[in-house]
Amino acid sequence: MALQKRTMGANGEMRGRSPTQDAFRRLFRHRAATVGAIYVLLLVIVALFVDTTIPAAIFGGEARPLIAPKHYAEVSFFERDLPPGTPGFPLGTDYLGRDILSRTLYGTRVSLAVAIVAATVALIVGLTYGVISGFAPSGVDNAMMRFVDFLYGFPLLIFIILMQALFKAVSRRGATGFVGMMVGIDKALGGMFFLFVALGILNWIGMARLARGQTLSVKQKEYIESARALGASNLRIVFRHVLPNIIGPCIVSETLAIPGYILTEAFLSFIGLGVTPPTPSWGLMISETYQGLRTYPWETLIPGAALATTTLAFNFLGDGLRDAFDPRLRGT
Amino acid sequence: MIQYLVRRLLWAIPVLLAIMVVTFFLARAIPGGPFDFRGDKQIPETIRKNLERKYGLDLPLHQQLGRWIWDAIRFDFGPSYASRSQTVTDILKRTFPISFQLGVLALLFALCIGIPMGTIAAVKQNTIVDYGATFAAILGVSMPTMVTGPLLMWVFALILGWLPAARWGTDYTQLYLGFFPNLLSGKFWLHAILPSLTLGLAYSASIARLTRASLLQVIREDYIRTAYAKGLPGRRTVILHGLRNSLIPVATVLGPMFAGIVTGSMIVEQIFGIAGMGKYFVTSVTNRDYPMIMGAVLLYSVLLVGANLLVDVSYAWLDPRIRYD
Repeated sequence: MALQKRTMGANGEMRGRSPTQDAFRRLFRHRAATVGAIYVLLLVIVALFVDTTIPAAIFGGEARPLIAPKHYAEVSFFERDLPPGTPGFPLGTDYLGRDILSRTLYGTRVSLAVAIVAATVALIVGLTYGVISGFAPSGVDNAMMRFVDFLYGFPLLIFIILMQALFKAVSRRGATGFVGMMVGIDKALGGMFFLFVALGILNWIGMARLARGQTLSVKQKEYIESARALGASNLRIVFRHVLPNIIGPCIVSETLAIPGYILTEAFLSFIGLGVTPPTPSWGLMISETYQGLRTYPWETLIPGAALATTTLAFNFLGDGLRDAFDPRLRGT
Repeated sequence: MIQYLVRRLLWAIPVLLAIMVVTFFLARAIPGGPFDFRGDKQIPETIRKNLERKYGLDLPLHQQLGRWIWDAIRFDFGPSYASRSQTVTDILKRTFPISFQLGVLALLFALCIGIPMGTIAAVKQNTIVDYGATFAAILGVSMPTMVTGPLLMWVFALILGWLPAARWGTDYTQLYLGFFPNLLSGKFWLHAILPSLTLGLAYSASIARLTRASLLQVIREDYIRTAYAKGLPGRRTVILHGLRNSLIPVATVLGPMFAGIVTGSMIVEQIFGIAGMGKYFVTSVTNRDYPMIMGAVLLYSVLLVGANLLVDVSYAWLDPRIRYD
């Protein structure tokens, strides 16, 4: 958007709006995207504060939980399989008598953490690889892209399964040194850390291709030439001129990839290679309960609804972002 | 064209070899071996050693790798370590046709719903029909099979009782179905509806989105305007001249989609109690069943390579401007 719209400032002077401001204006005019953004924001708040308690000092009595009524692993033998609406258990309990509402709320943590970390790792690795490849001499560029093509033909899902099995076996066996440290982190995070690693390692490929394409097209522009003529170094050109111009589409495409990460995490937890029980993940909750669907449908359908609405919100947000940052693609 | 095909097939060989080698090292890097436990009981040291010698697991690693690749080339992997009375080929022969039928039906369903829906949405752009279809599509993309599966089963099998809730082909587990099921039997279709619908739904939604987007670009092109100017009726123009050209992006995703459908069936098969090959991708890894891992991975990779090749060939048919010579 080379043409900046001009608006009158409060004191009468003309003020320009930057392309980014324009994009955000367009984003918030997009109703579905706004709804998606608000939902994602709510999820982030839930994920951050789900185990926060209101201190006893405020209301007196015991410390009360702020969001989730119970802890996710609080088992209760006499309160198993209660239907939604039971007093004390608004969404019922599962086969171990754990509160489904609390487990679903805690589940946002795993999904969001995986989504954000995997997306960030993929973005950083892919962007670095792609920009280097786009900027390198054509021989290096060719070699780097052949490697990416090569990985593209790989059955990634199977490699994720193999890697997760490897990580799980290593962490069960225990280890020392650097690996031991990683195992420790993974245990502390309820099995999420290795998920981050597996998803991040394997998902940067698409981003690398996009970043390289963008770099190649930006490299031809006159402002790069003029920067070079002024004696700017390669590093300066990359950081001051190339990155700011290609980061938009890359972030948009990564946002659109987030539902995929959430679903992969749910898939891995479903087949038993994701988070470690009893850490609540929606995929794990579904896999633990779908066999009782005939008698206790809510145990499966409630985490399912949470999963579907979350991916839907990210899809809306991603679509809106894409329309806002690249109006040529509107409606695609 | 022939030359192109040969070149592509030759390029597939190093890719498949690399997949085999990487799989070998990843599988071997997982601590523990196939004969550590029988059920919950640990197998005594001497018996484990003997078993490992029998299956050549005591050889040096490079010899094992050589055997592994030689087995893969002949597509003969020997007995599965987890159930030693069956060979891997037997298991794949029994289970792959079921997964394949499920996958093909799901893909057909996805195409039959997705392409017309995308076309209608594009033709009626910015009307209520378009918004409805777009919303339905984004909803479909967001619903994973582990959500739609139980939901559809709950509604259509458990509440309404219209369709059977589980199994493939018949009510009881039939051990061998073969590639061509009895298409005339009503039972087969009744059992097939829910799983194929579940598996195909998400794909139909993404096909609809792609079709709409690419058709919208195509119908703005000059040759479409020319067709209108020559007085061709609207529907004929869009379908005969527009749709075919706009299917290229759809064909592009069909390759990975097909391979994804075969593995995506993992969850659908588990939910609907179907005896396909999906579960072996996971159980073979957790059991350290090396021959089974290799068989499943190789079959899947060959499918992936074949599907991508088919897609590239279909470009030439969809858009005559594309040539491969």
